[in-house]
Amino acid sequence: MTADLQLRGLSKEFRGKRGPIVAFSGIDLHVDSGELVCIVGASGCGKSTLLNIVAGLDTPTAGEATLAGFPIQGPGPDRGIVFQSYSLFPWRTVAENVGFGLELGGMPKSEMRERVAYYLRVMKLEKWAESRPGQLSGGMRQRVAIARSLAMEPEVLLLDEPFGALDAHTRGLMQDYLLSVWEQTGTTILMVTHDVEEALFLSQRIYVFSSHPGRIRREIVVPFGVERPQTIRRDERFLDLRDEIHGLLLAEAVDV
Amino acid sequence: MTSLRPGQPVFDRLEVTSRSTAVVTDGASGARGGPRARVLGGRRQPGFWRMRGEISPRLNVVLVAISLAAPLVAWVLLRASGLVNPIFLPSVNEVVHSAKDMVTSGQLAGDTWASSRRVFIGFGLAILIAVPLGLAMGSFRSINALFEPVIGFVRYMPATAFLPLLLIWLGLGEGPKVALIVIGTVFFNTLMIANAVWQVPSELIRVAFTLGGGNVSVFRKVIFPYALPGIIDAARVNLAAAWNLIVVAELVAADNGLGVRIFRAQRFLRTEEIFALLLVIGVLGVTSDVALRLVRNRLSPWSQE
Repeated sequence: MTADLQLRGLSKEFRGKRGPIVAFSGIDLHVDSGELVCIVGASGCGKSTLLNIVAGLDTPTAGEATLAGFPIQGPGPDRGIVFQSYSLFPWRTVAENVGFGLELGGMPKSEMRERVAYYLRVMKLEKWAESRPGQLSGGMRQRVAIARSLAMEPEVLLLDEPFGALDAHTRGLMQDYLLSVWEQTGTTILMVTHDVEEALFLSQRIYVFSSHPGRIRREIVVPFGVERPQTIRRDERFLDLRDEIHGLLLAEAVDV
Repeated sequence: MTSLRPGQPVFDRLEVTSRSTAVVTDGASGARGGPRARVLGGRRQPGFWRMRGEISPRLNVVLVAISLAAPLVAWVLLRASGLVNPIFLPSVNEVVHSAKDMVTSGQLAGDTWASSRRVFIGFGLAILIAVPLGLAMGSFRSINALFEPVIGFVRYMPATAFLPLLLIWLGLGEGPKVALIVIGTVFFNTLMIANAVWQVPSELIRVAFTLGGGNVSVFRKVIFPYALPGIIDAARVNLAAAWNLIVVAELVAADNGLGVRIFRAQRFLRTEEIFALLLVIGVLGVTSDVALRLVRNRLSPWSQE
């Protein structure tokens, strides 16, 4: 089951040495059930903080975040998050990492084994089930992290620059993976990235953020269907949108 | 000059080129001819001085042997030279004899047991306090703000200076010795354990909460296993301090223990006995350190990957 995510008038301030620092203010956005939406912005637009608030790991200064109409108060297994830094448990095997949340939830062993096996298969990790994270490449580690979140079958999957630390080739493969997983599971996905092409390739809608303070500069509907071969990267509409978003971000950068 | 054959491993080629340039820049054998090759990057450091570089297994064995043998050789030579009064510096033979006597009389076993027991109890109590406190300080900024200032202050007070107080408060029995070890190690253990816990990546903790974890389960399943090797390493460092303190405590007031024996040997100028006892303490320390390291590797094999 997936549900729609709503942010209304969301603002976040941090206490700084010389008064409050505004991370972002007046953010209104929504992610419909089953949608894949990206937030694109330069560093300093507070996009990671925003994702943490949706995850329930941080609290907004003003405004409200709701999932299926219910206000978000704290973290919970209905909202999975994946960070850029993999964040795996190094003493657990791949299968034990994927099963971590299920174990906390007290799922019976046999059911857990089945569920873990399924998501290992989805992320093509069966061969590595008994390996430890230290033995895996960056791309494989991130697949484990995604499988671990997906195993909870969350209503929303939050991705915080998940492929930012990977090399270009691996990143391309991971993007294909993510699309196929999204199709297979129908999970609602909200992803933060600074890679414009990645956002265009993956998402159905994009929110372009400005920085200092973070605000929504523009909302862009991506005009591609669910099937996305790598060749759409050479589509004229793709290139035009890429240049448009780069232009928006560059206008920002001049102020810096 | 060597030509680069296709299919030859790159490493080989590099080896060949660097060797041939070395010959050319040497100057002395310039008659060999060939173009004067440029060398980039200055002098290559030999293995010994290559910063963070690997050393060969042979060099490693040699260095370890020197490390252990050099003090022994220096001792033997110094004694043989006759420069030092034999009363100040016993011979290796005398030390071995003295150790044998202590072993056969059963005195060494008794003293070792007495001292080890005090270290074990005192250090064990310190660990029992430091582990939960350090875990809490490393996990909650609130607990850290509550304890860090006072611990940071007290740990600068020399533990040995507490001994007179402890003797007044606790008398002459086992109490003051154990208490001295607790006071001398609990604060460092706590701060080092708290530090090890701060090393747990925040994102790992955050992920655990989004996977349905609560304070208790995140403590048990994330923070403790991640910090465990660091906790054991902290204990290894501070165990040395415990051995330091027990000897001091026994020098002041005790009727058995390795410190007492050292004190008595001094009164009779039996330096060979002091040497033997020091070696015994060194061996005990190394043994406990190795044991703790084995425990760490056993409990957290992932930490060595």
